[in-house]
Amino acid sequence: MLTRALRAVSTLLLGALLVWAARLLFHSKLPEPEGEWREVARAELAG
Amino acid sequence: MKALLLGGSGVVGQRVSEGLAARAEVTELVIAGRNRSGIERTVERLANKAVVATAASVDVTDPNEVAAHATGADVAISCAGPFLARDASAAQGAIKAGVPYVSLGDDLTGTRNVLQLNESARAADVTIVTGCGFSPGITGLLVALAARETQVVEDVEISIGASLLDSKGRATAVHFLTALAQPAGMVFDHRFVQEPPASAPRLVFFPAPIGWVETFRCGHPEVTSLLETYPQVRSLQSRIGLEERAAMDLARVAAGAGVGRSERLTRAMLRLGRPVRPVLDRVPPKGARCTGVRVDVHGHEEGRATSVSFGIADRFALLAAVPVVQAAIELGTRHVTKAGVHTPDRLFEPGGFLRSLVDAGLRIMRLEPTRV
Repeated sequence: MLTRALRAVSTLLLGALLVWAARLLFHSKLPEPEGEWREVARAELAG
Repeated sequence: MKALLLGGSGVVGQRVSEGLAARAEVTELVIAGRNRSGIERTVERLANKAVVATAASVDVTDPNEVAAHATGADVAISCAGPFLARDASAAQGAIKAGVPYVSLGDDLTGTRNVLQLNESARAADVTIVTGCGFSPGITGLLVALAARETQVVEDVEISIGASLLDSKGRATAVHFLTALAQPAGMVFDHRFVQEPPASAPRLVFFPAPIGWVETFRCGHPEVTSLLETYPQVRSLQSRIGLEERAAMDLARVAAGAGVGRSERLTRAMLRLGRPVRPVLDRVPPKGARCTGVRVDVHGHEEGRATSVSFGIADRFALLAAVPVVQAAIELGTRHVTKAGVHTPDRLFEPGGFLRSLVDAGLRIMRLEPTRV
């Protein structure tokens, strides 16, 4: 009984770990940059 | 001028002490906090500076202790986080002592508690500024800067892209989990609503070297403070994300399990998780060892839709320390005085204050969207 329970828990944990790894891999493909960041000149900050 | 620095042994506190010591206006600096050996190390680091630095043991949660040490100082500065239980008590101490006060307060409830001291600060003729780091702080000033370009501000979004590799302080980790675990107060369709914490994932593009970060709704003080400035706003929300996605997933799980709702539990979990942290630091994608903030302000001007996005990316400690040092100088020299409790965007002129941050080395960026 205990062995079966341990096996079920470890299978669940392994499954969750695989899903997590897949998510990390899937999300490593990011979209193209939204645009270009341009530095704001000091003078532009004047009120 | 003489400055009292509360919480001078932490990552940001040390950077603030160096920033203050580098300013000619500061002649005397008292580094205070609970961690005696830590504050003494900070004092030792300032040994070759022109400032006279001393150490003092102070319990920041006791307003009377804070008042006793603040008496005679020109300004009190608090970097003693997490701020939920420490910002209001330190501010109360400063009010008792009649000394201007500025903090890095970045906790939603902590900020609300400080804002409630407005009447007592006004009665004591003391200027209190809460939330003068990068978020809140720089974020509110950038929103004000963007609002100059639009007649009506309709939608405001504030995003933080944090990095495990850049912010190793324990108080920062506690704050991160607290922000993620609290119901995310936000404005939606002109109504203040509480959304589930760590919900609504969305990728946000930050200035280089950060790039895209997956962010989630969180409870952050800007929603309270900016709503006072822009009461007509249609939507207003704060988002937060870790550049290290594996760590972010674990943080969401922890926040969902209730870690972050109590400081003691959060600290215990962080202690338990310490052995795992070096592993998390190595799991790809790695962070950029840099922290980013971005504000998006949408509105309209003469019937035409406007959209402005500003951002900053730099080292966490620098982003937090530069604005609080500048505010301390403005308050300590009495260049700015206005009795009551304020957030930086409501006290300082945004353009002038942001120029001083640029002079101190921060780079403010503006997003020029790609035209399709």
